[in-house]
Formats: sequence, C-alpha cells, structure tokens
Amino acid sequence: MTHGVFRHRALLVQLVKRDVLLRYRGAMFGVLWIFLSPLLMLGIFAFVFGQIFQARWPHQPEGLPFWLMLYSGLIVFNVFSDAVSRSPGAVRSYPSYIKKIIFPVGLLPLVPVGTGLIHASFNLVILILALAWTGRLSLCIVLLPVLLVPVVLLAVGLSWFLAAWGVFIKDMNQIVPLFVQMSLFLSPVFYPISAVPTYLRPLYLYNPLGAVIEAYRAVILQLPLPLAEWLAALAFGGIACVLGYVFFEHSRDEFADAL
Amino acid sequence: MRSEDIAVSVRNVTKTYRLFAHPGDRIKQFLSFGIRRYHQSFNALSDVSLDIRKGETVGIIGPNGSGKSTLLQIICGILKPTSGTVQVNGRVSALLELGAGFNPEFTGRENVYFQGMLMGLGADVIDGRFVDIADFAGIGEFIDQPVRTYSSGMFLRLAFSVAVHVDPDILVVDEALAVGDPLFQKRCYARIKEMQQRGLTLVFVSHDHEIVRTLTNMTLLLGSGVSLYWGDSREATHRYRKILFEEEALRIAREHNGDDQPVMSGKPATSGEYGIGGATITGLRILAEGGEERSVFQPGERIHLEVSFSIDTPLDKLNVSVVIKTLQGWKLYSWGTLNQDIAIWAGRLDGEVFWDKTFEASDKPVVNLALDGNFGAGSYEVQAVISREMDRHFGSQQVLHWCDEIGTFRVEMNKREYFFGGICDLHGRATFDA
Repeated sequence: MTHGVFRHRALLVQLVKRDVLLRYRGAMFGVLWIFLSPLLMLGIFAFVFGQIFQARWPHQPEGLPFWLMLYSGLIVFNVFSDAVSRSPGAVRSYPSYIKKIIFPVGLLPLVPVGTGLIHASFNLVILILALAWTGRLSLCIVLLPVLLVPVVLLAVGLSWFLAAWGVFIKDMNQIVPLFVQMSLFLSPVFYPISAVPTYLRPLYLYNPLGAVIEAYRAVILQLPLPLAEWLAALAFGGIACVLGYVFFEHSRDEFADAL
Repeated sequence: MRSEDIAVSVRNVTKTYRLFAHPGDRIKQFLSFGIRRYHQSFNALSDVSLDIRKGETVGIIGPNGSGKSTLLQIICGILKPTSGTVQVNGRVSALLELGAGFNPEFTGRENVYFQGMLMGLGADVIDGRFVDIADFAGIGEFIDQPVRTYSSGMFLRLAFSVAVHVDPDILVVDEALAVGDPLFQKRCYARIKEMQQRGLTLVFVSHDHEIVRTLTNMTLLLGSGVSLYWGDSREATHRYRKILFEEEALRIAREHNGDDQPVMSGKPATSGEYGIGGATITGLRILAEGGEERSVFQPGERIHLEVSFSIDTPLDKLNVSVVIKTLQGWKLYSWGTLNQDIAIWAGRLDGEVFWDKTFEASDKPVVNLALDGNFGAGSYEVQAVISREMDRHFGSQQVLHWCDEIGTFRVEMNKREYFFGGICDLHGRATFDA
C-alpha cells in the first residue's frame, strides 16, 4: 500500500497541486483565497463567540480569546471534512482516468486529503500568528502537525472506503456531506469534552477527531497532552486506514465496469 | 517461441460484464454473497488467446461491439479479465482516447508534464523531451495557453505528441494512429515507423483495412467477443470483409425477401473469395488492345479485363466490376457494368444496359471491361466482383461472388521516352512563353 503511494508520490503531489490551483484559478484574488477564507471565518467567530456569546472555555487563561480555542478545533475538523465530504466523487468524477488511461487509481481518494492538508497548513500559520499576537506562543506548537496524524489516517481510510462506494452508488454524494455536517456538531469543536455526558465520553476521547482536537487545545493551553487517548486514536486511525484500503482494492476491479 | 521474446501474452481471457437493471441491485448482489442473481451477464470476450512477439505490430479488427476495445483495456491492465491471464513484458503506454487526463483549465505545458508523469516519466525526463514534444505538436505560442482555448486539432496534436514521445516498449492505440491535417498525419506515421524500428511493439484497433494491411503482419479478427482468426493480416482483412458483406447481404435479403435466408448456393467460400452465390467468377484474362494476353503494360495503354463467369440460378440486375489496387492495398479504381449503365440512364452514353439483362442457369457470359491504363510504374492487383444490385445506384448490393487478387499486372516505363512519378498519369502538359 505505502509502496504504491510512495512510488507515485510525484504524481500525487501534481494531483494535489492541480486540485488546489484549479479551485482558485481564474478567481480575481487567486490563491490569496487560501488565506482569505479562514481569516473571514476567524473574524466571524471572533464576533459571534467573543462579542455576542461572550463564551469562555474551562482553564481558559486571560488574554487567550475563546475564538482561538474554537479555531484550533476547526482546523482539525476541516482536515477531516475537506477530505471526507469530497471523497464520494473522488473516483467517480474521473471516469477517463479509470477507463482510458493506465492510472494508479488508489491515488485519487488521497487528493482531497492532500488538499485538506494544504489548507490546514495555511490555517496553522494563521493560528500560530494569532497565538504570537496574544503572546502565548510556546515551542509546543511544533507538535501541531504531528498531532494531526490520527485524523489524517482516519480521513484517508474513510476516503478510500467512500470513494469506492461512491463509484457504485451515486447517492453517496448527497449522504456524505450531510453526515459530515452533522459530525461537526457531534465532535467537540464548539464545546469541550468535559461538557459531554459521562457515559458518552469514551466515544469522544478515543476517536481520532475528539482526541486530536483535545490534544490541540492542550498544546494551546500549555496543559499536559492526553497521550494515552491520542495513541489509542492513532491505532484507531491506522485500522480505519487499512480497512479502507482493503475495501478499495477489493472493489477497484469493478470500477471500470460500473462507470 | 521463447518466453523472453513475448511482449504480450493473452491466455484464455474471458470478460463478463454484470448488467444491473437498477443501481440498488448492485448492493443487493454484494450483500447476497452469490445466493441470488440480481444481474444479467454479458460476455464481452470469450476465451481469447494470443501471443504478441516483441517488436511486432499487431492489428485488432472486427465489427462494432466485438470486444476490440475491451481487449485493449485488458492488455493495458485497465480492466481485469473475469478469467484467464494477461502477461505483459515492458512498459505499456495506452492511447485509448487522445487527451484523456488533459485538464482544459491548465496550459499545454502543464498538461504535457502531467501526462508524461501519468505515463511514468519523471519531471527531469520530460524536461529533456519537452522541446521535441512541443515541436512535434507544432502549436507554437499556444503551448503556454490553457488547453480550453485550443482548436480540436491542436488539442489532438498535442495529446498525440506526448503519447508518442514517452518511448514505451508497448504502445496500445485505439482508433487514433494519425490525427490532424494530412501533413501532421504523415509525421505521425513517420514517428510510428521510427518507433517500430527501435523495437516498439504496437497493438492497435482500426476500422481501416488498408492501414491494418500495410502496417501490420499479424492481425486478430474478433466477432462478438470470440477470436475468429489470428494470423496473417491479409487473410484477416479478407475474412473481415467477408463478414461485413455477409451481414450486408443478410440485411438486404431480409428487406427484399422478408426472411433471414439469403439465396445461398451452398458453395463454401475460401479466403480471398466470398459471396452468397448464384453466379461464379470462373476466370479473368488481362488483354492488350490487340487481344493478346499480357501482364506488362506501358503507361496509357488500353487494358482489357475480361471476366468470365457462370450462372447458377436465373438472375437479373447484375453488375460485373473490377477493382484495381496497389500491392499496398490502396484502391486506385473500381468500375463495372453498373457504372456504365448509370451513365447510359443519365444520357451521357449510348448503349445497351447490362442491368436489364436476364441470365439463365448454366449461362456462361463473358464481360470485357476496357480501361485506360494511366498508371505509374509498379505492380497492380485486380479484384473481380459480381453483385446483384437491387437499386440502380448502388443503394442495395448483394455480393454474389468476390475474388481478391484474381489477376495482377505490371506497368513499366521507358525512362528515356515517357516518364513521370507517382501511381497515376495526369497527362501533364507545360506551356510557356520563352
């Protein structure tokens, strides 16, 4: 699996580059939108949660605005949602790649994940600048990219799985974005896990989204990392990744027939 | 044949498509683990085998829907066979659809790099070949414009150019050996020849018999997914033409007789010879103006092609015709009694109409077709055809008997007396003020 992806890494880089460029090509502000859209979102959050709700986080120190906590969770969630909500079309929208050229099809579901990671890296830059501005920058921020791994694995696994389903069932294009939107509210982006009922808490703590979001906040608040939960999430993400790949490989022989 | 000489080995390949009436049936099928069938099966290929040697050029022909493209896709590894095996030695490049994978929003240059990577080249290799690729496509400044601004010809030329500069070991082409204007087509063929000389194994599908016959030595003939013939290209194209004519004859018979059975004489057709019977060509004599049998002519000499045939059942509406071809298979001229009849009906000629004549069984008519042999130096082959024309203007034809290469003749020129280049004499005349 990794062998195939590694061998075609140059192609994957090209595919992701094309995917990112294509989104902004022809737009007046071009690639500037990569910065503009998170900044606009950030502005809205600052206004709604900071000014209107005047919300506060547990352990939230003075000088660290609420919206920054929220933004960090959103960065993690967006990696997941960027990839998963586009995955049902990842293979289906390229019939000529499946039927007309010799192509490592397994790369296609990785493209939305790659694009999501590009966006995340710009978001992280903004987050770090904002942290520096509030004066709460610590060396721990170098951990942020690494901490993302379980979510990336989960996203990759789900993308492979959903991309394969998407080839056979067109409805996936409608269903999946709906579920992704629901999961935004179900994952601890707008609230801390401590606010979740106790009996549901393990579900939050050990799944990659919950664990990574918690870890991000721990880094920002300079609290100890929830390492055990994070490792469990890493294992969980790894399993999802392998299962997704197995399913994808199992069904790819039929792609050309179904498209 | 040693296995290291084989570029592509296809063994007993069968491809079955499952046809689902409803998208949901696919899920039901998946969940039923084979206990129930929610689909119909369709065999696109049944038990096809062939070995393609390295450096060989192979054609695949057959009617629409006979499984040609499916076979190409299986050779490329795009489709998996339902059963059987495919072994490929060397890097395969596929040209199944020109420009598949091109993105219209990106420039020609970007697409060339991307396409090259798709075909397995590193960016450094493409750097080295980029100038060649751009030159070959010949689209000039447009190379840095988005592909969506290209004319369709430019698009095809660029796509073709990339494909033939990847230097694959095996090139698989579907219906697109040459694109663009005649000049570019010439460059395409020259490039393919060059690649062949460097040891390229070429597998292609074409509907053009002449290209198959001239470019290949081995051809696979497919019909409804079954391998009908695998071997000599000349033989394969003969057989293919036979199939096409039989199909056409069946269609016409159905239209005129209201049943599926064409009037069959039951004569088994051999290769290079076919037809539904009713009349049989028994011979062709090639004569000079004086009546002597000859096989060598000077340009411009009158050539008489004397077709004799026998009638097996009473017949009318006949057309006796000949086709003259170069040895490479280019058709130079085809003409027959119906062509003359048409001119008579149109009032452009006087004479007796052959089409109106009725022949009785055991008649042995002879038809003399005389023509100006305005051919260049070379060898030519003659085909003779007897057909029944239900329509006065070739609208509905049944081939009773078709003979390939029933005769050959040669045209020689005396270079010191009368000389021109090419394959036909256009009777050039120069005038000048001097």
